[in-house]
Amino acid sequence: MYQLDVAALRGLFAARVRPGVRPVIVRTVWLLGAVSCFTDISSEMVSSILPAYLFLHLQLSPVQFGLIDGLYQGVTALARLASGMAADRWRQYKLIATIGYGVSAICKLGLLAAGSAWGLFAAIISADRVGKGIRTAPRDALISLTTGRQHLASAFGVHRAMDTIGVLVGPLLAYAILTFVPGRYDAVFVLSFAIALIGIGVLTLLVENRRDADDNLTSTAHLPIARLLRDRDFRTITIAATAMSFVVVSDAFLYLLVQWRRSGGPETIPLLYVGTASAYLAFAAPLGRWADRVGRVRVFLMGQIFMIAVYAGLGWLTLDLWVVVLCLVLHGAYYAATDGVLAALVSGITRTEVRASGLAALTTATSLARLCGSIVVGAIWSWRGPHAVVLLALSGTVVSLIWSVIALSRIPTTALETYEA
Amino acid sequence: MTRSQLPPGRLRLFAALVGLIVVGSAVYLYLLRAETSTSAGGPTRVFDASQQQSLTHVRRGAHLAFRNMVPGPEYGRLAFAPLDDRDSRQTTLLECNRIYFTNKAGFCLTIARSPAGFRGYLIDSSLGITHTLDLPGMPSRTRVSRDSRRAAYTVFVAGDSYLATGLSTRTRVVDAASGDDAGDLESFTVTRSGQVIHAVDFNFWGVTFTRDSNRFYATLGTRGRTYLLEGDVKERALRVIGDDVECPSLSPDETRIAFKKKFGSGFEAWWQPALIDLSTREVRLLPEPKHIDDQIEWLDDGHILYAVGHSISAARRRSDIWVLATDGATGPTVFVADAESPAVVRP
Repeated sequence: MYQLDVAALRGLFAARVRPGVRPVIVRTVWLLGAVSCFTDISSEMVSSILPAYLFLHLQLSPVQFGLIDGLYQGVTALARLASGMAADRWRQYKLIATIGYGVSAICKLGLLAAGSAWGLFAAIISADRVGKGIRTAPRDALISLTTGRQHLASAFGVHRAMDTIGVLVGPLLAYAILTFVPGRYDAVFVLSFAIALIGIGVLTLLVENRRDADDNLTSTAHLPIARLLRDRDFRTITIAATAMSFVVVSDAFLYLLVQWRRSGGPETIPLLYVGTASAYLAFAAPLGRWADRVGRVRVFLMGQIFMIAVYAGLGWLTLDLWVVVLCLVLHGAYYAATDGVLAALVSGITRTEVRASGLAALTTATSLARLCGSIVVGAIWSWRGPHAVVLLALSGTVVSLIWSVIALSRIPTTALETYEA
Repeated sequence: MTRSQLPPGRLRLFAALVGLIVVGSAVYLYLLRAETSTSAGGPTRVFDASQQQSLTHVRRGAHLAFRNMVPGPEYGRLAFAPLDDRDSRQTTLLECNRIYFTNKAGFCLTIARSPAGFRGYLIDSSLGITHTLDLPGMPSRTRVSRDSRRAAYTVFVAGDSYLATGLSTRTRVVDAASGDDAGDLESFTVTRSGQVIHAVDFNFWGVTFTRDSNRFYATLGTRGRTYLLEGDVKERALRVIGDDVECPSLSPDETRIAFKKKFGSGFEAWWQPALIDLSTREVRLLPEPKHIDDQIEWLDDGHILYAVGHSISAARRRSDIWVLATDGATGPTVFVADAESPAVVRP
């Protein structure tokens, strides 16, 4: 994944071997990357077989499937915020992340036991989501607290790349298992649990709670969210990220658009998904490192430009194979330029004692915005058709970009000047 | 700042954990494989040469084609049994998730493993595979017209919607002899009371052919409601003729349609078999409280067949075929145990 940026790779290791110098990517980040990789293998194994399991094996009706999938988004948002605040309050980032990973691991065994009881099944899927909500903020806080401020985007880039490896490996592994023992969905659940356990093993046995972050903290953060919301820079970045998440339509919509314009079969959708994920994997670390060098805001803005290019390409160009490939590469680059970079941006401007809360607030706002966005997209698609959606998403992203350029340029440079820690 | 080393005790513990999980998983998978059916991936033949005589014998009389659900190595395969001697089933080599047969043709929808994908096998009167179709999604419903000229299938397509969570269907009619596409229902013109209607969320499923194989009935689902359609393959037209009818199945005398009627919503939803009289449009519920999923099949003008799943866990799903008198005089009884996807074949 890092081969594409050999210079960056050399930089990483050069920094590692020089004694007495803090490495760019510290051990904790590599280890948390491994935890996420194993966890994503585990969860993608299950989600890739879930449709076949639900419809063919359990014979659930599609109506009920929609319910399971849309459940408890609100609960997940609450879990995110609560875990971020709890992690800050007791400074137990590792413990709270472990609870999140643990909940999701146990859910894999729960699926095994749930059988055809829909209600129970839906509850377990929701619990799995809540587990994901719980672990994200404390884990990202741990990454940011163990990394030097000037290397934050690099660290998040490496972490997101390792995470994406899991996303790509999971479905392949599930397929291999079902080829070895045909029709045995229970084997997929059991092995998914086993792999999740390895991830938890890395976290509990090898990761330390928090090293070498600046101490002498004021432990007065009783209402960290209120304090955060008073911070103008934090507000601006969160609003910019939320606006972007609202206007940038979901992956599913983009893939449908490709399918609709090329009048191809739906069987190509998994390939498009792999295309985006591969590009994300390839660009996450180099773009993160680049963001540390040229400025995170710049790379974040560039991400939106990538997305505008994707809309323009998919909406108006003749979609031959190369245009689709180019669009998928840009789509992956958009993720690489925004997801980890945003986490680094927020980490760079929030005080240590509210770090997890800040990251939690950011992901809560962006995921709710994404949810609202897809509902709006759905309505517009039904009402005016796909071309209207592309046009609106494109103009929305342009507006969001222009607003971001103005608003983020007002942030004092010192807050973003990452080289002076 | 200095870099601390990991405590060696923890490293050793972690190595032991990984070792245990890897070895445990390997042993588990091998034990599981010993008790699982692992027939060859792609089929080259439907049956073994030694079965030829008995299969020919069964296929000569009135019989049932179905999916064998007896736990063991033959689980999930196409099977045949005489209607008057249903205990003596002949299980073939072909794995199918959904099956339909007539005396001259058959259609088997399956999740194939090598190469992986969803396939449809068109089968001729001597049980040879004549065409292999790549299906755009998971097998859901299939029918072959009584004159064996056309076959229809419905598959589920995940992710084919504007919300990532969406799920939709694809329904196509094919020429049973050549395997050629005879029409994708999505491309047909839909009319309701003479007006052309269209919406992006249209889903079609559950084709049931009339005797002439050109006309058929099917379901249209849109905005959470279902409608009964009457279709014409040659004219590529669909007409809404009723509502609240799901997964129709036309009786042999073509006077009634057996279907699944939906009650409740969300997780509380359930489906009950019902009949609609095509001339009077009168709907009558049938006494069957169990959950039915697949399209209903007619045994004769007075009885319907359908599969009911039981003992469902992640490891296995069992299912029986039940029979129910359409006059509602008697309750349902098991017709063939450990079977699903029934098709009644009469010479």
